[in-house]
Amino acid sequence: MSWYHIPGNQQDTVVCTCVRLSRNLAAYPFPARLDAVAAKEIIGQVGAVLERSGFIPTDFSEISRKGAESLAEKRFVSLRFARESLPHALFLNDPCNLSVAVCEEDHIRIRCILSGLALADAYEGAAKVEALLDGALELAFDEKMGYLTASPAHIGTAMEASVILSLPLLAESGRAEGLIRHAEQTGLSLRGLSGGGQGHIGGLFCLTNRMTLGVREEEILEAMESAVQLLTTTERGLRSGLRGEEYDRITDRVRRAEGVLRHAHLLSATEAVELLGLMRLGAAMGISRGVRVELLTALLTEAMPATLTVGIEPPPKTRTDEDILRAKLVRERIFGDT
Amino acid sequence: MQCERCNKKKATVFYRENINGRVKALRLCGDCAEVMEEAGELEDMSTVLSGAHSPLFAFTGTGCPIPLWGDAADSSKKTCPTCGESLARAAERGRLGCPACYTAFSSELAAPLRVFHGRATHTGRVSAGFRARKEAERRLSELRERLRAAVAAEEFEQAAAMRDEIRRLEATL
Ligand SMILES: [Zn+2]
Ligand SMILES: [Zn+2]
Repeated sequence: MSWYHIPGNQQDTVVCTCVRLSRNLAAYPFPARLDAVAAKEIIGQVGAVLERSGFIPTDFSEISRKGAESLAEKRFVSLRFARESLPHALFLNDPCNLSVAVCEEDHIRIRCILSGLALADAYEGAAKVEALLDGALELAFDEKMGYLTASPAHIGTAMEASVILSLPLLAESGRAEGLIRHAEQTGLSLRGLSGGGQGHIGGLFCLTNRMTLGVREEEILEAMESAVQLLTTTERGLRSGLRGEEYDRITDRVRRAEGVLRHAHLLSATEAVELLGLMRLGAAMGISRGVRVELLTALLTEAMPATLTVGIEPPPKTRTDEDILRAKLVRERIFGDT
Repeated sequence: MQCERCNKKKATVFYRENINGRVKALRLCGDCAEVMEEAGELEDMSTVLSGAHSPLFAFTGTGCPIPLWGDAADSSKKTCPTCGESLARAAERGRLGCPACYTAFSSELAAPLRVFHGRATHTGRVSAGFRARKEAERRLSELRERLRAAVAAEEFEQAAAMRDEIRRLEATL
């Protein structure tokens, strides 16, 4: 089981929510200036606390590069972390919604990631883990600057909340630009997953907070919550406002997406993201029936290059082999065909 | 053509930065390109599109590709006495060396922090460990004060008890 197998709130428009808290130990330089010995010390200290609370460690020296990249696709660590040469570790809880990366850009990065819209729960989850560590280790904290982080862009709360949204109609409506500017004015950042400047892949957007100093965690969550409401209401308005020909055109695109996902022999990662986005839209609008939306969320991770092929023997030799595997996985998961 | 990030070295790498579909060309020197790539601030859209990586990785950048410091930092010879990081290098990387760097470079950091965050003082969650240490320090200075008074008043039994308490508190800090 992982976070992406569980149904979430407002899945018609929200894919997942992640709250990340960055913390550093007062007695050590930040990871970029750390030697291997000190990095191992930190992993030992943090690990001792976490393992007492049932977290399971992943030793990056023992897993393949692909295994590490797969952990990044599941959003437990950053891609850079997965490829880092300095000793580093990841601790995961059992339902796999809490992760602690040690010696990423900061010594400790706690992430709580949940399906759908769950800002308050994700913060609470991350804060609980933080409290475990805060009691046992001396964290770098300053009264005026808050939690001290390697990048001055994160000091203060050192919290990054992010929500991944599925807004395919909004992406095409030409209203995205204005909403992106609006988000910026409220101290947030809204970015589309864009393919070389032409449109938005799968209608996916990521909303994050930019400012961290001088705002309370609750204020950040409130600002995020109302920005999400604005975006989702706009998208839902566009969906329910579709009439006549427009509705038929969308229905056709959803059905075609279904057709390709059901019958394609080759499926690239980008095409999969695009078509899964259309299917999510179809499920939300009642065009596709009997689709479990959490399955589509899971495939956004499971059909990605590293997660798809990790542990497969022999590993796919070419991109074509990989695309065959992906087409097969998607077909089996959504339609139960083989 | 000079590097558009550091404005010092010669630009050798041409990058396309892609934010929300607005493609911006960036001319960078090799060092800056490496720093930004490492930080996930540059997304090579060709690898994303060809499916070499998960398209979802396009979301992992920090979205803050601007160095936080101005020209003042570049010419400074200042270093952090705790970790040895120089202000110039920290400014170039947009990352500090250690928690004590914030004190060492506080005057240079003040303005860019205000510009970036719009505020200057933390108002959120307070580290429990920090609160406990603060409280112990406050209690210590109070005890030391009372100890002096007790000694002056020749209340030696009380003074001895306070001394024990002070020793116990000092050990926890
Ligand atoms: Zn440069
Ligand atoms: Zn330092």
